[in-house]
Amino acid sequence: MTTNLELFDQKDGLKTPPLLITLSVVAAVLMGVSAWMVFFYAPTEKVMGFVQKIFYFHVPCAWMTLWSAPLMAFGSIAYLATKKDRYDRLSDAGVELAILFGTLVMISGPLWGRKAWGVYWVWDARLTSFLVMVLTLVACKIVRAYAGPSAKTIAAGLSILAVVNALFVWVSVDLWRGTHPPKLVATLQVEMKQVFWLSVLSFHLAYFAMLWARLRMGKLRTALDRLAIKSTEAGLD
Amino acid sequence: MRFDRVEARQVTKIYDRHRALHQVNLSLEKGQVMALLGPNGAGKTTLLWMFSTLSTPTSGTMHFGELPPDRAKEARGQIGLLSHSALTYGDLSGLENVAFFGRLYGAADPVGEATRLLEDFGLKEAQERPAKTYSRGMLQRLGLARALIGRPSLVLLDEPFTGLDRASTRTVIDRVHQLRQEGAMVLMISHDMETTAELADATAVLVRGKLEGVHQGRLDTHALRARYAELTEGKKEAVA
Amino acid sequence: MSPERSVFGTLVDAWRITEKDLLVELRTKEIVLTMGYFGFLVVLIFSFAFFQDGATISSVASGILWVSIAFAGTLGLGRIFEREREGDCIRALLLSPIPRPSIYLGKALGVLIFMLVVEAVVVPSVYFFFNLDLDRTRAGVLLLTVLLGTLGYAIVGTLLAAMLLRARTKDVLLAVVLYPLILPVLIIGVKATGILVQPEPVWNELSLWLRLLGLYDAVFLVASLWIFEPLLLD
Ligand SMILES: Nc1ncnc2c1ncn2[C@@H]1O[C@H](COP(=O)(O)OP(=O)(O)OP(=O)(O)O)[C@@H](O)[C@H]1O
Ligand SMILES: [Mg+2]
Repeated sequence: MTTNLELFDQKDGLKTPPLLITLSVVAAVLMGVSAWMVFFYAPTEKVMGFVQKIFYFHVPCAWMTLWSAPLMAFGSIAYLATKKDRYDRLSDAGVELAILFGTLVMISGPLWGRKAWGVYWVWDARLTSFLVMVLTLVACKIVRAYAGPSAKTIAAGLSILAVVNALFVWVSVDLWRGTHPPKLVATLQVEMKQVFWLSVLSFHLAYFAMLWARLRMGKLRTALDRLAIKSTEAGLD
Repeated sequence: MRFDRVEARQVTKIYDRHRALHQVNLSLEKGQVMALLGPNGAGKTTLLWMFSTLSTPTSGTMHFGELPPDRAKEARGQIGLLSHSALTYGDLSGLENVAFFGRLYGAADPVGEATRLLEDFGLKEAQERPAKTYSRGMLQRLGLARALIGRPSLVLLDEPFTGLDRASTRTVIDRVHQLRQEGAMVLMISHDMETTAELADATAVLVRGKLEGVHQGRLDTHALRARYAELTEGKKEAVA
Repeated sequence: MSPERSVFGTLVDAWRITEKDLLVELRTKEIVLTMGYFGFLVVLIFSFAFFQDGATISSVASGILWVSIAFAGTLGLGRIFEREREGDCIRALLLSPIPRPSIYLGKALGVLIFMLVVEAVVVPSVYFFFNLDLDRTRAGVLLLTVLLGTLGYAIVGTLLAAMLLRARTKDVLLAVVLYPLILPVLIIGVKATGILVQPEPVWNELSLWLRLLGLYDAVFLVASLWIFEPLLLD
């Protein structure tokens, strides 16, 4: 069969690239190792106790969310400017990753907050702006699913607005009240730092593996759509 | 900035998993009336939207006069469109509707020009009534008046004769003849072979998104029917 | 006649669209009446909800003011764009040679005017039910706050309503996408109004909020003008 799927080179076809598999395996192993080290290697912190360990997950998750913001903003702007599907896929991948990691941030944040401030949720600038961004991005996914023909364009517009808006929420809530712990990394013990940076590394690897896989999935879906068009046209429906 | 030629080059339009147009090449010259025929769902309306600049091809390019394809939207003020729906406001009167669009097109005397157009289309008595009280055929004529208020170089008509009585059909036919004389281009979708034969200088037949044939020159009703049957014959969705 | 006209021309064309919306509304009065009545009902319901010891707690007044504005606004936004969709008029607007930003600005101005009319009902009802007592200066600043907030709401709301124009389930979707995006307006509006209704307003803080609100309006206006055009074409 000649698969004239312009997206893929003929030789490798639809096989998963070995590098993606390697990256995923390495990321998974490192994740496991860093999780083990968080619990069995890093010393327990004096003030916060066991709960402090959340920090090793919470902070990398927040960083991953922050990575996603410029990613999807770029994808969306490029899509609006060029209407090329590839940028739409980038933006969609960014949105999904931001929702995933943003949600993790908002689950881990309150667990920390409960111990540190005695309440689960505080209207703190970072947490609130994360919440608002995730809410807008969820809206963006809903639109993508239900808005019909121009859904991609709308989703692109929304994700740009989501980023601009998150910045605003950040500033306005920061002015309103600020309770977020100050930059903690500098004050950590050596073992804690080691574990922290290992965790950051494994999150980055996992992030890029997921991003890559997601982009590939988008590409495959487009290829499948084209194949479907061809098959209907060939009268195979 | 008037233009005297429009062309679709290799135009393909894909909606999700459906290819509505497949590598269509079609051009119109100044003073030409072209009929676009084809069975339901063939992609006629989709192609008309491409010529209106309101929809952009998935691949391929649209050329309006000398404009480069990436600046095609600048041609929009020179395009008059009569679509399936009237494109008018129900709560405004016929005159207000046409005059409103006249203002947007920078008409020197929007109310005067609108009045004249409405009179031409036999809507003089009804021009003060809200458009929502109009009948189907009246709306169709109002839509036509609205489409022509900007003195377009390219007139796009999507099934202009549906819902029109004999007298109104006559008015529209005469108007199209007049447009040709004034040097406008007219692209017209129609299912009615008689009016098509009377008007068209050229005929294009679209079947399942592909342009099956373009006949340059006039055909009488009989020849047109035969040609249409020949081109759509054996095609899956063809119902003549 | 080039399609890219001057700034002045853009504004003139925008006004023509607003004028048309106002004419239709004067004739039907549908949007302003339903929005205004709904806004009043929301204020009423909330004042029942926060009713205690024979009086309503005035510290929640600022929150209720803004929630009512936001709710009533959604109602109007949906309707004002429904009028462009009935008969597919939006396409006729898009096809006309006026600059695309004119369409956006014209609709946004219409939304702003309708909302201000509605606020002429909502603000006094809050004033009345919550027993506010503001001197001249504070009342003036309250109006300024409401104006700036409404402007931001109209700027973002118009963009979203326009982009959802052809979506299948647009009414639900509008609410879903609008509220997260106008949260800054609500936060700032509530804070600023909260400061104003106190006996001794902290003017420094208030001016900071108002400037932030102005910045929100400016940033989103620029962003909206930029993304409006590609959003409307398929
Ligand atoms: N916005 C859209 N989204 C998805 N599919 C569409 C869209 N518009 C048109 N189509 C599809 O494209 C095909 C061509 O539609 P089009 O309206 O151009 O046909 P047509 O030739 O005008 O038919 P008719 O004679 O019934 O008016 C149809 O199969 C239709 O379902
Ligand atoms: Mg059609």
